[in-house]
Amino acid sequence: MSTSANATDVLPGHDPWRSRPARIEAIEQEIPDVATLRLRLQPEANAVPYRFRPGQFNMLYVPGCGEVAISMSGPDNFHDGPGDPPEGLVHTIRTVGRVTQAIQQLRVGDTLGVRGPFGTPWPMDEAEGGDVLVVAGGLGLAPLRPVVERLVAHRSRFGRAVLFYGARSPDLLLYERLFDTWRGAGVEVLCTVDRAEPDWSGAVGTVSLLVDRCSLVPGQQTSMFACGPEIMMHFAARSGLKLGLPPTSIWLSMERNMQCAFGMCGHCQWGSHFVCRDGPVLRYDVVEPWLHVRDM
Amino acid sequence: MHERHTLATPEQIESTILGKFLAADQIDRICTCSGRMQLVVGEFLFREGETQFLLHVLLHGQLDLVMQVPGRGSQRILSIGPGELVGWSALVGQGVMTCSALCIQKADVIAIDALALRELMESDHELGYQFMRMMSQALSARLTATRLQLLDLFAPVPHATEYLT
Amino acid sequence: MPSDPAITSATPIEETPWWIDRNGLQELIDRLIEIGYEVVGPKIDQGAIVYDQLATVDELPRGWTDEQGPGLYRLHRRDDNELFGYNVGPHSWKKYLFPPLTEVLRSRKTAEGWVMETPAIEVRRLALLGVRACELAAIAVQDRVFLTEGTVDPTYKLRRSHLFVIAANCTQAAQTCFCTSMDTGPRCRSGFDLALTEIESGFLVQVGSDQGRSLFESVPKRLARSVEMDRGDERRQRAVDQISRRLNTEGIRDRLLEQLGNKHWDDVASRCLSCANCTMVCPTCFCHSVDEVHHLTDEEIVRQRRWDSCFNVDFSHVSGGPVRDTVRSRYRQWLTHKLATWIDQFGTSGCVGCGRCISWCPVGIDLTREVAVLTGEQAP
Repeated sequence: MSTSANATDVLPGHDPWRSRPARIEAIEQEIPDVATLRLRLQPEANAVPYRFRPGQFNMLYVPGCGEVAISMSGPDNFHDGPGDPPEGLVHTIRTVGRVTQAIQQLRVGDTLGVRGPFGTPWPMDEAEGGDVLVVAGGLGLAPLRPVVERLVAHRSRFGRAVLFYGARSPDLLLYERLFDTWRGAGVEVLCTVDRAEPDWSGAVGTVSLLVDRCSLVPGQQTSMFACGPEIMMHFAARSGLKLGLPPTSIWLSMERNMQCAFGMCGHCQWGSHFVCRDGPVLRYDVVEPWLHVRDM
Repeated sequence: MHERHTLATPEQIESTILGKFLAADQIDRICTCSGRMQLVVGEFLFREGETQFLLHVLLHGQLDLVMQVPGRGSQRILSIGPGELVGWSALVGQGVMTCSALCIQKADVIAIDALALRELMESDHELGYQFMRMMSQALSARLTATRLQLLDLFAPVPHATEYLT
Repeated sequence: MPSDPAITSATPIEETPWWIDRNGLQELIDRLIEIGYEVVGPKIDQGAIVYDQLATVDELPRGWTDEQGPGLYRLHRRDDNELFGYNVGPHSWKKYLFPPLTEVLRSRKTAEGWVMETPAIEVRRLALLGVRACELAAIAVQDRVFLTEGTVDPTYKLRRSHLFVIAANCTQAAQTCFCTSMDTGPRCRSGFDLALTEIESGFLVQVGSDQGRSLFESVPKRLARSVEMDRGDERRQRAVDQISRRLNTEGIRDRLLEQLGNKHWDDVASRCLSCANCTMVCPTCFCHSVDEVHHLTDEEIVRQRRWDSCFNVDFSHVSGGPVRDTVRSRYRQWLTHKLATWIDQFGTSGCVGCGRCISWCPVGIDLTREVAVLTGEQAP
């Protein structure tokens, strides 16, 4: 027992509040107000290799401005050898608020803080051997891109792979530059928009209609991963159920205000769940009772 | 213009939404007043304002419902996919088409004589009931989809703070 | 469950309690201060009994008691000189373990970009004096929040591991108390180093841990006599008998979550000011936000955690605006979290029955009554 009047201690062990500096290696403008940043964590003594799984997110930090939760959008390295992801940390960010506006001001070579990865992943390992239906709306494709990249990289481990993607209009389709690569690797990419010019060759209408037109192979395990506006995911899940998917095979990525990212600050509470820790990827049968409660 | 060249087979009707509601004998009777037609890209199945009495079911391809908006040109409202109904004003309305149906991907369509079908439904209420049940479900799904489109879910948010992308 | 066995609650051994007088209590305080503890306990400040640093028994609210009710808290003189003759006030011990402001990160701008480090924090070894049973339970509840495997808050853990707890058994109850319903009191059962029961002649002292035993060794004392032990039992029983408020906790999670659409939430919302008082005085509420604190030059930035509340409209902000933009939805969130979904998250209720939220609600909203109305046990 110490006898000093003021025991001064430095925090021991892992500190979940600690951000690590990362340098911006590349910035790619995607669609208006949306850019993809590639970050490289700055080397640090005793740093644990950064490994993440599809669906997880980081807290990006601009000192003086604040933090924002942004999903990983690059290929994951969970099953790779030790070391940070070869492509760095890839984040697709829409400029909507104070912090994302500050991020938009940053240039290649600038640094910002990174805490993570946090949250639950899409259950990619469990989905192996079966068909995978990926349903994305708008920027909801960003957290699903690592799923598609995993399907592309390990195409033979999965059955049929379909991306159903709904956006506002053809010029607002995210990652359109990658669609040909994905299609070439055997992922069906079906797009639909709310508004279209006459020259648009895809579909018009809500994304759940595309799901309705799909049919399952009887006896084949099929998983659905959906991300987008809450109401869109709600109807995508219902379309999945109509196809015959069990509720336990449908997974949604929820959005809530996140501050601590490890289930402590209370901001992201949704019914019984801390979306940052128990989610963002949650199974449909677990969240279904809460989807119907207004202002929850 | 497209031509009505062959009769529809029961198997073809069975493969559409009709097959989910109608019994084999009911499908057989509908076959007697149905034909098939094919459309190439850019062709119209029917046009807004036109009066016609064919109810269509898409077998393959894609048709888009299009409306003319003065000053904005033709607006694509909704895509119709395989197995789905199109042109139901022929059956439930006065046959006046409320929008145009434009072929986006080479389409194979079953056309049902709506006047003959109406008579069939009048004389066989069970068939009529099942057919209307199917129509109401199809209409309901389309209405829900239209509502989601109306919400403009992907519109920029005016007073956003931050967002998990 | 808390991940650090060193700070999980030890169950005290049933043995004959010790007896000390007020000088003995002073010796105990002196001993703690000598070995480096800062002793904090109840003191009167601005008409309320609050928790603050003290060095002598004379600083305790001798001869004072409190009167509490919905939206009511008043101090009155007692006709005796008891040191612990009152119940809980607006403060709780969470202000020491989970301080209202904590630095969590420091960033410095250098030529190579930002450098970020965990601030070195000074943690004083605290001895809490006069901790009630409901407050021991509240600390145990917050342990589950801040010390659960995978989500350990380092500053909480550090503060928690430097604690000495002297509990005080209640010998009376306030009109707002309902610890018997929450099964948290009024008897202190675990989670303390020493537990006092005040009787006319002094204090019965129960040892609850090795740390408590080791410190208590050097304090002059004797074993309690049976008449003193009987007196202690009577006084603790008086607290039990005085508790009139009830909350039916039987199946409360499901009973409350079935009522998410109840019209009565609108009725509560018409009274609730959404002022967040209840969450500030609640000894288990843990919600917080993190702010940026700039130094003048913008070359050094501190991230600071501060208490926040689910009653603040910005608390649930997402891209489209707040998820809970009505008082109805915020009150419902607070109450259903505290009494229902908390059980899903932490395996225990978030309410310990201390009654602070009832006393300190400016409009006197009483959660026990609201629950009874919501679940149909009482007419609106």
